[in-house]
Amino acid sequence: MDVWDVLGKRTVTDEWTLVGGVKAPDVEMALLLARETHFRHKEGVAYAVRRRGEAADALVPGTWPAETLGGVTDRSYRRQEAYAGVGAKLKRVAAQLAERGLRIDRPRPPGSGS
Amino acid sequence: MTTDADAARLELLLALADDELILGHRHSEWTGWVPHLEEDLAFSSIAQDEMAHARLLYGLVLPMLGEGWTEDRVALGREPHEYRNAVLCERLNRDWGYSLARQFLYDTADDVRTESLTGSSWRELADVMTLVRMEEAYHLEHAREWFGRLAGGPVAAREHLAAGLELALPDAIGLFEPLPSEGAVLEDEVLPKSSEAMLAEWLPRVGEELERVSLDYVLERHTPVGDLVPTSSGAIEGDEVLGVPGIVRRDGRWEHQGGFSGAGGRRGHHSEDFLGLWEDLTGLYRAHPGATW
Repeated sequence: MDVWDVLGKRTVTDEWTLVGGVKAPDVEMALLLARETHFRHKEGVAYAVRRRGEAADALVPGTWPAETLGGVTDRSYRRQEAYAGVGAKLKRVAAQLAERGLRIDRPRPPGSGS
Repeated sequence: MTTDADAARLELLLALADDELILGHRHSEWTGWVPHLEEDLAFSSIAQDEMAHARLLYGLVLPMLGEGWTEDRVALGREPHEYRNAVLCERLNRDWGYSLARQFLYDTADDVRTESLTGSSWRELADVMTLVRMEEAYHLEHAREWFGRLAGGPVAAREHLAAGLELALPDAIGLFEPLPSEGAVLEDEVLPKSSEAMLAEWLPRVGEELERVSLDYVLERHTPVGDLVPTSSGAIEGDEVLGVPGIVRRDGRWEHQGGFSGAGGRRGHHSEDFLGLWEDLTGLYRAHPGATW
């Protein structure tokens, strides 16, 4: 299957920038998959594909408008916020346990440094 | 607004939202297993969209239920018979051919009903539908692109698609099972078109697409009896089985013939496939009621 370069623009005035690649049998599927894999999180306002190895002018822009590119409904659940501050939490809990003579992590394997 | 009108609106919302939630869940089971990495991401995105659409609709449900109800409780805190999704949405994924055949039939149906509902007299519902359709356009394009490619061969791909379409078709007609109190939402134009009118719009459209790729024999094989798979007890009770209309070709168009009998998802009757899904979907919620994170 052909490899297609995926290009995007973050703002309308940007030049096309290479953002990745997809495998697809033809240009229609390449555009569909490029949009679904690289522009679903509001990464840009325009997208395009070019069969890898072809000349710069072989670029085929996608037709979905910037307003709906990346979806229109609430995507906040995709942000993994539950891990924010997890390092500090671990230190705090480890300190509390240490006061009681306990530890929560196993000894580090030999040779792994500190 | 009378209580009856409220109940009818609630039935409509739950049918729409539960379809999206349950099919979204089934789609999400493909994550990590789709035969093609890029498509794995694409299909997972569609699953997330469907769940986001369910959330928008549950947002309209909450004020009707009152104190004590949350989004999680509506989505995850109901008993199996309280879900109003069509049986099509809960069916096991089987293979990629079936899953795409189902997506094609479902999203074509969803296109018909969401378009109609943008004209709903209930402004909030019409607004949600306008928003939802912006994303459903992606789903429809995805379904049509895959439909065309699988139908175009190789032979094995075409056969998987055809077998999937044949299996999914009676359940897909079940998407148009009339709501128990449909008359009330039709009367005040909350539901601009009856389920039957939408079926009459969907079927010729599907028929045209199938004819284009010479797979319309799938429609000829459709028998007007619905799901006759016996339950684990071996019993088939007349009232519990949804009988769906037949299909005929008349004046160059595929049309339905006859009506529905019995009861399906819109009345809370589900297939055996639903129980496993319900346990997966709601297990965590039921184990820790009211937990937040």
